[in-house]
Amino acid sequence: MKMKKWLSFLLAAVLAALCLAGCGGNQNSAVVEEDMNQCPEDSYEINWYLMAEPQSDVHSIEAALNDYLKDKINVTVKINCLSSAQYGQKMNTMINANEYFDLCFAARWMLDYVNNARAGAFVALDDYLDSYLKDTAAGYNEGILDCSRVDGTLYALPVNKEMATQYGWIYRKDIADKYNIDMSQYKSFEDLEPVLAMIKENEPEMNYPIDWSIDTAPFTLYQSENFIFKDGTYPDDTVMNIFGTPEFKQACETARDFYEKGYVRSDVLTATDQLQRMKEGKTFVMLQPIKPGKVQELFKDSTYQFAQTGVTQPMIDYLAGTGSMQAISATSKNPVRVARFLNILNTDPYVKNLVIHGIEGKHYTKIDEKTVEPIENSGYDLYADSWTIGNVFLDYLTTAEEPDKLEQLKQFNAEAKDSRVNKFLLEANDDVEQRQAEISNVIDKYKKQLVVGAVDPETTIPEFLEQLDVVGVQEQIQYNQEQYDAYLKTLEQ
Amino acid sequence: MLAEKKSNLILNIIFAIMFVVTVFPILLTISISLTDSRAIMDHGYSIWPETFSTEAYRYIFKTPETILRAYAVTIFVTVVGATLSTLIISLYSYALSRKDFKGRKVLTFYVFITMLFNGGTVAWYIVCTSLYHLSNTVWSMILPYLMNTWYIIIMRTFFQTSVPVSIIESGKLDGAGEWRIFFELVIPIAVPGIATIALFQTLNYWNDWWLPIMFIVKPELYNLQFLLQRMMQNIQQLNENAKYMANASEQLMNVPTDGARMALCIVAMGPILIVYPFFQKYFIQGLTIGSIKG
Repeated sequence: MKMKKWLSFLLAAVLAALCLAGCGGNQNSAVVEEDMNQCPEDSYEINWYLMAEPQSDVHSIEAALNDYLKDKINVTVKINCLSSAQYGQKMNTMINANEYFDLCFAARWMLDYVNNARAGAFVALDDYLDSYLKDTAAGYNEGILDCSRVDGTLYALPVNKEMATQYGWIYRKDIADKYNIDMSQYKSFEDLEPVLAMIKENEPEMNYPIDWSIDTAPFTLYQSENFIFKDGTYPDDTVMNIFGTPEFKQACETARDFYEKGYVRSDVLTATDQLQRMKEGKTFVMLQPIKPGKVQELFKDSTYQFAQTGVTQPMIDYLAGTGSMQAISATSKNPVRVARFLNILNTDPYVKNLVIHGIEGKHYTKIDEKTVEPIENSGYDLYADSWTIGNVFLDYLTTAEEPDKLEQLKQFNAEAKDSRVNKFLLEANDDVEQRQAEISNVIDKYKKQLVVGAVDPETTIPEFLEQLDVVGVQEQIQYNQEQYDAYLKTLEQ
Repeated sequence: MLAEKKSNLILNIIFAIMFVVTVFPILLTISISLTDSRAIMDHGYSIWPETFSTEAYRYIFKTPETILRAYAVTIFVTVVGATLSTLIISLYSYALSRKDFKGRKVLTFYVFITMLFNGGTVAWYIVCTSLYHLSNTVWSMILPYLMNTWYIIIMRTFFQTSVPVSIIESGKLDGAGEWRIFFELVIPIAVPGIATIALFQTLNYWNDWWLPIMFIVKPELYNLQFLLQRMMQNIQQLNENAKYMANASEQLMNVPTDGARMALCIVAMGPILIVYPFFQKYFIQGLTIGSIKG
């Protein structure tokens, strides 16, 4: 009897708490429109979360920004840098808790842009494109904003940067010259084998002439060349299980073959220092996602010479629009002002370079109009994170880079091939999500070992496929096919 | 006699194996932290440094303020947190252990329910941030762990079984108040239990990186474990997401070497090793000393 009384009390308390929480949320004030040509009278503080390593001298950048923006849009900016280790977890909790902030970094692979957008975490920006974000919108290549839309609505502005993915070899140029190897003629891992055998024999320093991780192993090239799309479509519009394709088997066999012949290191499954080894001159070649100036960025103070050459065509894929974005939070108290700030960030070189390089004379020295030299240990340098902020075409380059990097980047974007699958988004209900989670558990268990060549594909692939069948991959394929067909229909209209 | 010797020998062998299994990783960590990074690249890990080098330690102490500040935060949080939480847990569970305490059932029920059910991360986060405004304060790393319902239940049982009612009654007869009974009669008997809880809480606070992830944005308030966790996580993130971060080349190259990671492990582990023997003394003592004679 006593117990019952307590339970009912508890229940009442819980209900009351729920009710309070319900009433508390969504107190968003209505959007206040502003005149684009006028500086508003009230000041507003923008709470901005960046995915970047925290910098000790961030306060002087905030002060400089505030000075500059006061007469333009009357805002102050609070910069919060969170490292990638913390960013996803902290921001997701903040969004779920409906906590106030204004602006944040989001992407398809970090902070789950698509699901958070669907859940209403971000402000829809379509209405601003003709007004507050007009200058920014004009700067994008055609079609890019469509890639960022979720169910037809734009919830974040993509960072204007390289908009395509291309894979290519990065390699030791001095060694290639020594043996007269023309890397641009090798278009597959299989072609490359004689070169690797020769290097292994003649260069004792290079025990393992080639190196890879899960994303740069032979399968990556197959996937990229045949353009097997992320959720598993073939070019002829049939969805299929990519792990059951002969291409996947072939790629795993190649990886296994290289592994057994000792072209790749034996701890490739667990190693994380592939690029460091390469920089120390211990690896001849690696497959990497490339863009103009990639090796200069990677190996800027190495004693060896490096070069790069493309293997696949640059492709605009689903990452073009959703790989790196800035989103305005639905909890922002003044989204219009934040949008105006975003517009300035995307179009004003002074603001962009202040945010990434810091203050002239204090954090960098200016070499010429568009080149800077960072001052070491100055307490502020976010240049490495420039690709998560605004518009990279406004950046001042550093002296280590090729001066025409940005022109090359524009060229790269212009030449990239578009694909019609890159705007496809899968809709999922709870059951499907459950199944997807089970499928990706199985994939996590097998894919990496197979792809890097650490296990024998002959016995492991059948086991892998069997496990996938158990968790319902066939149903999932059917489900994807229906959605994909529907998507193709909307595309034709 | 012979059988005893035999079983002794077997026990010794088992413990020797367990000793090696636990000590070996620590020795390996120390060794890696003292090995030249190029030697690791060439020969892999070894129990004795191939080429001796203190480069890793110099690397992590390159900006000593960061590490020293993190040390200060961790030590403050651990000392204050462990002391406060042990006190609160002991007081609460002592009250629950007293049969003559009226609110006993209600408070036990309250503890029990919160142990079984909780509101989940988001509700907890909202309480901590909107109600108590803990974001970016050192208290955000102390308050959430102050009460631990599981330890309360353990301590209540411990008080009930190890502190006889007659001792409390004798205190009352001699005219002692409740506070005096608790601090002068009950605590000395309950030292082993309290020391156990104190040790657990010390470890909890020392090893915590979850609270800084949730509540700390200011770099000045990062603690030691968070620095370590962040370093490891960043490396993992960079490797997992390399294909998305085609632009993140520079971060990829600034990844600390294996040596630096291990050196930070050693630095983070050091002081807590000293705490162990200190608590151990109490375990052994407390287990052997009884309370009522005759």
